[in-house]
Amino acid sequence: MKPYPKKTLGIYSLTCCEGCQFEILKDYDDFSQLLKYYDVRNFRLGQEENLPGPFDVSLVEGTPESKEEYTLLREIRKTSAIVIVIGSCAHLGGIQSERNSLPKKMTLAKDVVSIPEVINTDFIVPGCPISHKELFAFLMDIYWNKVPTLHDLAVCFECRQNENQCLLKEGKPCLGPITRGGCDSICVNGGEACYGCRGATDQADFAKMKEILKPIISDEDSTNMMTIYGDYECEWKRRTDEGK
Amino acid sequence: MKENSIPKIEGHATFYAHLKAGRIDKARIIGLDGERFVESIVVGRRYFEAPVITSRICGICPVIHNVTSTKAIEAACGIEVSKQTKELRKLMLCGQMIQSHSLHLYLLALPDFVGASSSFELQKTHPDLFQNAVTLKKYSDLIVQIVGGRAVHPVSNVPGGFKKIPEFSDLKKILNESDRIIEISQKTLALFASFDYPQIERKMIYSALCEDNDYAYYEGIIQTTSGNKFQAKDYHNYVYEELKPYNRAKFATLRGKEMMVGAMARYNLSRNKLNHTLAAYLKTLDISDKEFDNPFNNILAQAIELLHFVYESQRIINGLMRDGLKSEKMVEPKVFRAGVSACEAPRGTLFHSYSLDKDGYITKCDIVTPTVQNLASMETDMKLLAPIIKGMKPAERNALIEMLIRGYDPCITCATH
Repeated sequence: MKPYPKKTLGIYSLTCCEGCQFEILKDYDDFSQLLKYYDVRNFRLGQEENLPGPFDVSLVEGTPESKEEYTLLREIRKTSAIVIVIGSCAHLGGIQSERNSLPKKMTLAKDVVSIPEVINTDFIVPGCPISHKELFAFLMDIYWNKVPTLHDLAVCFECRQNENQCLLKEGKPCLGPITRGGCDSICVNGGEACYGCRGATDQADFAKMKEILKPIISDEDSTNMMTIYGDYECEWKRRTDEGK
Repeated sequence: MKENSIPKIEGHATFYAHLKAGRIDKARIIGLDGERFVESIVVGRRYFEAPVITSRICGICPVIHNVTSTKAIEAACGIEVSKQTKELRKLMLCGQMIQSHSLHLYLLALPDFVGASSSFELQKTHPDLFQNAVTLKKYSDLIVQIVGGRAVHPVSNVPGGFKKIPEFSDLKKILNESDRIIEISQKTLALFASFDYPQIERKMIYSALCEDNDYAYYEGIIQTTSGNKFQAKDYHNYVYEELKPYNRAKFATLRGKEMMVGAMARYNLSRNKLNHTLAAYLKTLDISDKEFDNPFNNILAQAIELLHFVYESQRIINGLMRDGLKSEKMVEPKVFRAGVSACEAPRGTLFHSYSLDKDGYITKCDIVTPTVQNLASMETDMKLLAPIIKGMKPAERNALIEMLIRGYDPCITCATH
């Protein structure tokens, strides 16, 4: 039963690895279910005919680099009722945001900015890459006019449910305690540390995290670790400033 | 002729071709993706962070970046990994090849041949073909998921070995699927062998990793059809990169000469080392044993490789199950110096090169992607289309040029990184 007509959807990609778009196409059975509720009007990776907006919902991945991408981004905002940013690049700046701390002479390029710094956005689906299940659940909530919400517990919550050995207890670095869960602790399940691709939880205690990491790795290494997908230390400073 | 952004390729690119008196005198591929300066980002970081970051260069081929980067870091750290680690990585790369080739064949290339405008339309007009794509994709995702821990941007493979060894029962799960997948891949190959490809022929230098007895993709030395042979660590002396003002991606040449890498290059150089069952099957399809010279045949070469790598994945799993999976200790670095490695990505030879300082921090990084090595020959091949497109309407012309570019399976996000 479908009381509402299909909503229109645009899927856009700015500069990035396009892994999130592939994640959308990952499970075609799931994707074709989504097509029952959404009419995909713009998706350059998957189709030849791509229409301009207005759309009910637009998904954007990546960070804007060129002038054209900035223009496109503003255009997307103007023509979409709801803008959802997907993936670490769009959400936090992603791996390329580390470029901002390089000497300017080396790159001659402008700073990388995340999408919420350029336009007003409505929702964020975090992760590098996103989980298509989480995104589709988001889109279904929107279809049924519900407000989607993000998991706001740390990665550690799911990690313990998955019965993983705690890396920090083993004396190995991990950013699980301050990072937003919802990823099913997929990296730690695979033996790797959490590098914080989903950004900080609302209650993240950065000072405590630094303290825990201190006996494990050097200050330089913990800074490196906390700046892979976006700058945790900037976020920490921003939150402290706001708190004042 | 110009096009806004070529649909159905990885990354954003456009082309420009100037048609004058029946000849194309100017042909350009213009990348539209912004630069992310990945090579500079990893500088100043610890050696083990390189594979995490460089796998994010590309969302369609993260596995190959992850493995090549890991191998280069291992070369720089004097790490020798076990046979089991090598086999697991090869299995993961089989998954990568099947993933990338099936996606390109069915969803990006096939619509051109059956007259569908998109993969979604294909779902309506050719549901059986579409289902093949879904099944192949699922199989490859399963492999990468089980061996690497996640289908996009795998996590388990790091310098020194695998942080987590797959379960025996999970490998069995892949093996149970593989007979059905072989059948689908055979059908896929038969389908792509039945198409009429636009006919253009040219002489080109092909370059790929080669081994004496195997169809190389994980290790080997680089050989070219022009007679060059070199080790990965000497790539600077052979593969020259240059910048062109109109493209953010670099153009690479083999000492100034255009070359082609990828499925067709591998087929041309190592076709006598393909799986025997596959070789017999090729004969029944009337695919000649000659070198491919038509760039459109890259698509056919991918279909051949698809089947080859499904057989290969089956072979590796059988071997792993026979020898038993052991949980191994990670190999720790012995020294920190410079290291280079090359692997065959779905689109061709990929080079990663790192220099480390005495504490294991990265001081230099250089990555040469396959698409970068193909851009120059892509532009030349566009010019060859001139006689065919002479009488065509502009829309048809654009479609054919796009089809040629798509046939190369370029990855602009990789090329720009």
